Formats: sequence, structure tokens, C-alpha cells
Amino acid sequence: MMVLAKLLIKVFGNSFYRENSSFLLYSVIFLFGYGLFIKTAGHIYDADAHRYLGFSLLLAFIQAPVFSLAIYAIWVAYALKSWAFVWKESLDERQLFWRYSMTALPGGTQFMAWCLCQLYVFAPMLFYWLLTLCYAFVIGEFTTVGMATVGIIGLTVCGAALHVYRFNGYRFGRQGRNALVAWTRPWKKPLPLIYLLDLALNRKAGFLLVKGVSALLFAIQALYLADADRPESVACCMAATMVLAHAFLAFQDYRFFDRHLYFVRQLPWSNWTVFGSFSLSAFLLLIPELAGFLLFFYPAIAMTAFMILFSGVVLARTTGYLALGSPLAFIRHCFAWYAVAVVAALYEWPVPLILAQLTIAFVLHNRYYRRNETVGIK
Amino acid sequence: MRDNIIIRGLKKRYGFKTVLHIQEYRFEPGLTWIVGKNGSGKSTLLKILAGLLDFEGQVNIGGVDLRKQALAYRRLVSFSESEANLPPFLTGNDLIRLFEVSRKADMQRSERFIDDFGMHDFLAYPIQEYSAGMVKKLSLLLAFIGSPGYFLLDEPFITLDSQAIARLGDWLNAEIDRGNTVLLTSHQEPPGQIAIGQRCRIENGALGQITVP
Repeated sequence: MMVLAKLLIKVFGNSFYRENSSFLLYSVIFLFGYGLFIKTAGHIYDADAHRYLGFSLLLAFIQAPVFSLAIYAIWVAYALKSWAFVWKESLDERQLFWRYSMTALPGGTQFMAWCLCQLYVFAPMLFYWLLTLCYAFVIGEFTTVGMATVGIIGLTVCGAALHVYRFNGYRFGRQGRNALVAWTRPWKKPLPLIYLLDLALNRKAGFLLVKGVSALLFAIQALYLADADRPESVACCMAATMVLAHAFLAFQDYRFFDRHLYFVRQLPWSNWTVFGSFSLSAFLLLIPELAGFLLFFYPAIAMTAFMILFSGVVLARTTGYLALGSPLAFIRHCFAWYAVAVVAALYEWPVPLILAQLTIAFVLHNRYYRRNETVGIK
Repeated sequence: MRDNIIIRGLKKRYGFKTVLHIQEYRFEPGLTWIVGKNGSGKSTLLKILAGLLDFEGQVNIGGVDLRKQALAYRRLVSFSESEANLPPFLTGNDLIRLFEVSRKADMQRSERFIDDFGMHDFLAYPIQEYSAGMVKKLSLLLAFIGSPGYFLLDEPFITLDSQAIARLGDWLNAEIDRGNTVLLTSHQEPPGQIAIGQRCRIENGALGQITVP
């Protein structure tokens, strides 16, 4: 059983982390960012509180209902994502051998091995579970850790059962055609549309999550910030935060290009043409935000905020060249940029910010587009 | 007659390992068959010559430098890789259109290749539904779109059926007759109908010509 579990972890677990590392890192940074810097910092008033800072942080994490809700929502999304990943991978020809090797083992052994693999995939959630366990022992309140334990066991068992069925009971070769692929089949697909199609087909969860952040920001604007003294600063800060959320999609675009459209580098298209194509993709992706800005702000402010968002997303896309496919390096660059962009927005320097973003984006593209070290990460 | 492909001081490293180190080499017009062990750097060399990988040194064709005149160089060269990883949801027709637009190609010429390979039936379907052989045929077809004078073909015969290999042989001979250059890597001897000009071997990162008695 352990041999099988090790192999499953190596093949499915590790490749799942590689595929979804950016989603995971973003979630962790957003959640812990919220927990650490907003929830706790805003609640420590006592002068002596620094002595209990570590303890307060822990309390704030576990006690905040918003934090718990966000954790469970992301946890379920994460579990679904991991199941969909194994489901999709099982169709790959490289994984065909499982169907005539693993299936010879008893169902119980397979189930236990998949449970271990699923627990490995849930490692980030186990960290949260450890926090709730510490909380339970310190405070003497066991509901949260109980809920987390039930969550872990329930999702692990469901995942393992699903995977055992997938490889033993499922009749392969009967899957139908994707409706969107069938619908778009006769269309002409110029370069900027190819990435959007990939987004619609393979990255729906990430897309909805990012657009959800935009919608949330517009809702906050409508409910709390409508009478703000400096609407331009508010709009620009909103745009900068939206760039940070969209950077996740920009990174996916970079990886998709590197894996599946790498051959475009061999075609006689100028750097300007390819840069224009990336920019057009970004523009089409951001049309809902453009409509939102025009709805909530005066046209001049709306256009400025949109340009910050658009140029920021184009810059995030080209930052992928510097990160060389590493999500951690990419996120570091994005957060460094975010600090600069928010300062520029607060000091009301939107035009220099837009110009700087577009210039740096083109310089990066021009410098690195044809200078890659490897081809097609398979 | 086309110009030679000239390589000078070419060096390629992956991490700390130097995969290629070629002082100087000229590929003459006609077909050159490049051999070498697995991992010797054959595919890397073709990817460098195609402009897909960064490297140290110089590559030029008739004074057109790969780095300095990136577009002019790419108009001359086409590439078909060993195992293409194409976007699975696109159809063969989508990619053919993309290549025709980028190379301002004559569509009738593409049609002729499609007929030869018997590809009409599946080009309208997404690549995810293709077999390995069908993807290989598509990858080769894309390399022949337009009128490049230099063909870089990485393992072109693997997964092809015998009929397709014979057709590919005809295409290659036609290009050689026109004075074009074909660089081909293969572990198997190319079919007898193909006129091989030079043979060379990559060993310990260096490229050397093989003399056939």
C-alpha cells in the first residue's frame, strides 16, 4: 500500500502542486494577509498587547467568521480542483498504465493509498487544522477543530472513493465532446483569442475567482465609498488591487504560451505584433471591469482607472519572463509592484504609473520574448 | 542555390551541463542527416537553429543573423519538432491558418500537402482527438507551409505510417531538387528514396562530419 501511495503522490500529488502552485500561493497570501494585517492589526489596542501578539494572531485567525468561511470555501474549491485534476490526468496516455497495474490490487489497498495521496494534496489545509488544534487546547473550545477534522476526513474519503471508481469502475472512451469546443470549431481563431478560449475551457474556476474579486471591489465602492473625498484615488487603488487579482490569470497566460504556443516564437511575427496580441487578449479580458468603472465613476476617472488596470495586467503578463515559470518569484514581483502602484495611486500619479507600466512591459517583452532557456514544459 | 547555415562558437548549457559546444560548422544545401545518442543535443541544436532557444555564439544564413535579424531569419527557416505539444482544443485548420497568415503563404501549396498526407478528414477536429501519428503529420505539414528554404525536422519518421513516410520522402526530394536545405535528426536510416547529402554526428557536444565509404 505504501509503495502505491508513494507512486500516486509522486505522479499525481507533485504534479498537482506544480500545476496549481500559483492558485495555492495566492489563496494563502490573500487569506493570511487578511488575517494578519487587517483582522489582527485592527483589533490590538492595549499597550501591553505586544506580549500576547502571537496568541492574539492565532485567536483572530480562528475566531473571525469571515476567515473561517473563506477557508472552507477555498478548501472545497481546492478539493474539487484536485479531483478534477486526477480525473483529467487519467485520460492522458502517460497515465494509461494505472488501468492495467493498480487495478490488480485489492480495492481496500487502492482506497487507502488514494487517501494518503489526497492527504498529501491537502497539506496546506492540514496546517490550518494544526492551528485550530492549538486553539482548541489553549482556549478549551473544540468546535472549530472538530469541524476541520470532519472536513479533512470527509473530503479525503470522498476523493479516494472517487479516484478508486475512476480507475476501476469508469468506462473510459465514452466521453462526449465539449460543447464550447464543438461550437467554436468552425471559427477563425486569431492569436489573441486562443488564450481566452483556453481560459474558458480549462481555467473556469480561476477566472470566476478573479472576476469575483472585481465584483466584490465594485460592491464595496457602491456600499461604502460612494461619497469618498478623492474618488480618483479610490478608483486607482481599486484598479491596482484588480491587477493583483488578474495577475493570477496573466501568469496562466504566460504558462499556456510557454507550453502550447511556444512555436509562435519560430514564426516571422515581430515583437510588436506579439505584444499587441497579448495586449488585445488583456483588453478583451478586462471589458467587464471597463463597464464597471464607467458605471461607478465619472468617465475621465473611469478611463484612468481602466488604463492602470490594463497596463498593469500587460505588465504582469510580461513579468512572467523574469519569473521563468516560478509562481513564487512571480508573486514576489507582483506584490512589489502592488506596493509601488498603491503609493502612486494615493499620491495621484496615475499617468506616470500607466506610462511606466506600458514602457516596462514592452521593454521586458522585447528583451526576453525570444530568449528562452527551455522549450515547452511538458 | 541557397546559402549555407553557418554556426560559430555555439554553446548551450542546461544548468551546469554544457550540452553543445560547436566551434564552427557549415550546413550545405541538400539533406544533412544528424545522428547521435539520446540526450546528445540533436533536438537542442535544431531548436536553437529554429530560434526557439537562447544560446551563446552566432548562427547566420547568408549574412542574416539569427539574433540581429530575427524576423528575416525566421522567414527562411521552418521547424517540425519530435513531439509537438500543440494546443489541444484548436483544430488542425486553426493552426494551418495561423501559419499561413504568419508566413503569408500560398494556400494552394498547403492544400497539395494536405491531399498528399490524406489529412482532409481530420483537420476540422480538435487536436485532442488526434492520434500520435496525426499530430506528427500536422506538425510536418506546418513546417512545409509557405516557402521557407531551410527545413529543420526532428525525428520526422516516428509514428508515421509507411505511406506517409513515402510522401514525406517525395516532399523532401522536391525541396532538395530546388536547392533547399534540410537538416534531419533520426535514429533510423531515412528511407532509400531520399538523397542524403551530408551525415554528421553529435558527440560530447561537438558536431563532426561522418565520411561514408
